Amino acid sequence: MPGVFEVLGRPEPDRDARVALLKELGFGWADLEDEAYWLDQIVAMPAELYGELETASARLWRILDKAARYVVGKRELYGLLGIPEVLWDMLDLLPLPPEGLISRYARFDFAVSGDGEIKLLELNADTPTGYVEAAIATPWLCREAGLASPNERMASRVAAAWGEERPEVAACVHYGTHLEDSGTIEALVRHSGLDVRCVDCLDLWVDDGVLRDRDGAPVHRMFALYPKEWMAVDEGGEALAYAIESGNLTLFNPPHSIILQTKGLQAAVWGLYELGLLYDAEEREAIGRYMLPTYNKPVFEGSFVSKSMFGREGGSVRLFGPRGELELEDEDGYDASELFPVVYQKRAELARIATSAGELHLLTGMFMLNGEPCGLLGRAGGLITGNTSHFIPIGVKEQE
Amino acid sequence: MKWEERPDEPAKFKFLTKDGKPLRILSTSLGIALLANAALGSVSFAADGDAGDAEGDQPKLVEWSTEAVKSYFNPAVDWGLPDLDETTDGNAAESAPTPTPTPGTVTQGSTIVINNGSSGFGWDDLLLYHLLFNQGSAYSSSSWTSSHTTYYEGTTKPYKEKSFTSETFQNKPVAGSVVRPKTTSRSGSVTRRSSKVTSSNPGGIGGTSSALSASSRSSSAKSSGSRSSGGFGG
Repeated sequence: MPGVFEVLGRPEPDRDARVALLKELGFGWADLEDEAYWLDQIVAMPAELYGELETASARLWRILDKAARYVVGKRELYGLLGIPEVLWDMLDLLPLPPEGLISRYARFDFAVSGDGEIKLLELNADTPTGYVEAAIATPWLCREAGLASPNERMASRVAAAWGEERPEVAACVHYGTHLEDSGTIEALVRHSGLDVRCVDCLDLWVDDGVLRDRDGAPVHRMFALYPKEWMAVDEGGEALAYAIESGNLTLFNPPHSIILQTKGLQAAVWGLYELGLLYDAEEREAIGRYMLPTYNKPVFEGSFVSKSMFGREGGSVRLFGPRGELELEDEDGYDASELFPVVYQKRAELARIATSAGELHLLTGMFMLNGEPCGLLGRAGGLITGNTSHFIPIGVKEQE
Repeated sequence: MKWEERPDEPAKFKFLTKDGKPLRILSTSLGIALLANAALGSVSFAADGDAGDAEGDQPKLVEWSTEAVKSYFNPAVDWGLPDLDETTDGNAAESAPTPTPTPGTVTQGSTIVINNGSSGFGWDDLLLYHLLFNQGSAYSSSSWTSSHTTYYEGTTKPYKEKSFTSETFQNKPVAGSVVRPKTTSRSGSVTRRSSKVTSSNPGGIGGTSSALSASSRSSSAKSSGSRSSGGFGG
């Protein structure tokens, strides 16, 4: 299967020893029960393709930032982009972070086809995971295989971002028992070089607008791996929103990252592009080249994908064929389209790679840390990259 | 086809593709909202180079003004109605010579109709009419009808004006106010709770949502495994 990607190596026979080693480094979920989440092979990406991916990410980051700034203050657009009402006041009240820094911890997911065509699928600007896989496992595995890894810079970028934000607490739900989320915040804390406490969101409570931890100590600056749209669902969401609005709590990523997070923003960018609004010629060229036609209504003639504006891990994704018939839907993730509106996006081709687990589709993630592209995340799975996909490291093949 | 590529063509063509079909985005609510926002002037179209038009800030006459009005009109004069707050301050004249025009308010920079020109009917006349008909108080439909009995056409049934309360025009939730329930028109009332909840209990942040995101439709080992159940992967 010739293509831009090359799969290197064969799985080592002593997998358990390698899994244990990765666990020591901080990646403790390479194996889950009987399933191999980590594939012990490496995908090599040509240096030119990586260069283009980095440029595309930087350009799209500016384009989406511009759109987010345009949306701020327009409540009718908040509604159409699926942003829950509980967040509207804080979006209007709180100052917008500087350009390019609405979220200092984000990840693009790209469909890179077998012949190297890059298309943006989504931006996870609020609570991306895969950090440990990308920042810890990938550089280590690439070094071992003699491949270059742009991911080496990730830890220093996190240190720079957190040096500005200076959270006193990092939180996730089920801290200590949920391996992936706990491991993610622990790795971020370690890489930040700061003295930050890790806590469980479920222990936090709001006391008349002040967030408090289990012992009742106030929390004023917090990094939370807690999706902001869930404030509309959780019992304590409104009180948490009040704590943020009243200035008692500064949250990271900041509240405005929800505008970047909603997949509705891609529909807004595409709409502005079609209408010839907001963007200059250079930006329009990037939108046309790297983004997919996206709408909040299925207006396609060919095949398309539908997904919740706040869907995660492939949950809620449905693939429709050329005549609009449902071809495939995600069965594993939570279907967030029960709660949030849906966007419709033209289908894009994912490169197919031959791995030890069979022929899989490769989804290419690119982390944006402190406003800069740095760090590839490879995931291999079916047509929909869902909860049951595998992590496969991506390295960069030097030019010959 | 995009706007800036054919700037001379009529606006309607800008909403059509090359083959004459309407842009897809215009079939969506989001597209209409974006266009409406653009029409309200909060975004400039791609080809617009000089959005800041200096002449746009100047007061100008409506196009059907008479010759007498045109000769009388001087754009340098402040044609805005006096702002009561400023006149009571007493120092507005020295400190703020010309207020900046803002959209939606009728001050300097808006279109001016001069009423004290040839028609003979101006603001002072209007004030006089108001003093006569409303006896110096603010206009109120109930005080007018209480002293001026009128009848429904062709009947002897007196006209009874509608009455309004402070809740009638309440279009946003006000804490503590009593409103009628929307699900029934017969009886009952709802007292609105405080507009913001300011406290919560442990488990309130992430409790419901993590249970939801763990409730996947699949029973595969992976989704019940510890990597993903109840977590918030992005």
